[in-house]
Amino acid sequence: MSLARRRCAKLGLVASVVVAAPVTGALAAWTSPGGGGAGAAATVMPGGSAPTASVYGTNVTISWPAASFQGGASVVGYTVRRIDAGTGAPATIGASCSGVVTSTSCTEQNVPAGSWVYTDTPVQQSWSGPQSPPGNTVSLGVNGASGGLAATGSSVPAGGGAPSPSGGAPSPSGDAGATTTVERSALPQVAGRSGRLPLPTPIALLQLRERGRGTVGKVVVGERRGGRTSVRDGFRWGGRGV
Amino acid sequence: MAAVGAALAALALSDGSSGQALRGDGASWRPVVHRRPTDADRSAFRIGGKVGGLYPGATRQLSLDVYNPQRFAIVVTSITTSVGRPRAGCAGSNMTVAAFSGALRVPSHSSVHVSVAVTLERAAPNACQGALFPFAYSGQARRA
Repeated sequence: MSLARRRCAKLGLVASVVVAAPVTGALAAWTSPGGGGAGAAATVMPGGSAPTASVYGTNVTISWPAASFQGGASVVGYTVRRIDAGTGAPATIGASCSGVVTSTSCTEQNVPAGSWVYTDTPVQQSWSGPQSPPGNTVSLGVNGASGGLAATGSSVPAGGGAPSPSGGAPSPSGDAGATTTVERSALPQVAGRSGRLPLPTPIALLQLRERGRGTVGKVVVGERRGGRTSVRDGFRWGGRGV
Repeated sequence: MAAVGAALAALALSDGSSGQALRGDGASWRPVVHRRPTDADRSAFRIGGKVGGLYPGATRQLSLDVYNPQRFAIVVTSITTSVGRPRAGCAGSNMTVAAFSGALRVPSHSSVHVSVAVTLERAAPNACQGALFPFAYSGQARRA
């Protein structure tokens, strides 16, 4: 640019001041289209962590670790799925765990018989994160122990040996359909038959089997102390009078 | 002379489409000029800034870097941000950037930071996960 033109340009700047904003002084507007990294980056959803499922009767309590965004903010909720442990087919989950669960646990009631695993998926409004890996397997209403228990010592020999309401050995014969809660003092007899129970959770449901007759009773056990698990709750001699 | 004056007047009154355009990566801005630079080109101030960590319903502060390449101080009176479309299935309207309005003095050949709120709307669809929303900044300033 020539000297003369630069001078003109300077004069032009002054002229523009007058034209654009005679009161406030030089007023100019610019538009700067951003490119590259200029802008805002949306984050991604955190993934879910494998849940823990605990059986209590026909109910299953599922709990899982909270999921957080980078920076520490927790997601607003989770969706929980129940999956057939054998086939991998998703099942319709009970109302108390359906939809978006805004806490990190829920209890599904009246879970159908079968072996199940649960998953959790973090959600944030319309966003959803990667589904968690499946948690432990729980079994309800099927042969063997539930709550992820190994079936060690869970069978009751035919002819008795299970506790009675008074603490003695009950007879498996009686009126069909009756359910009896035995005295707590009788329960160690069952625990003794079961031996040490490798419980994955503080409380689990132990089902008792009788050879040739399948499940003949259930017991809720818990209170792990010193590596041993004691019988804690009542014993139900399902389907048989005592 | 008349042509230069007209160009400057248009710059002052327009939305910038007939004035100078700046391109940059948010950190290093350079003018994109398809003709010989004029005083009008050199009169621009530069705006850049980026922010991350947004999720539906979250608000973050966007720190804008306002650079004044002039040999005199300026007062920036407004900055607005338009949001481009980041990707298919995720519209730019899912993000809201607050406008700046005030009197931000920027010394000659210096940068000043100003923060504005950026919000990703709660209704932002799942397709917006991990998306980069491009920004285009507009501003107005006067000589201090």
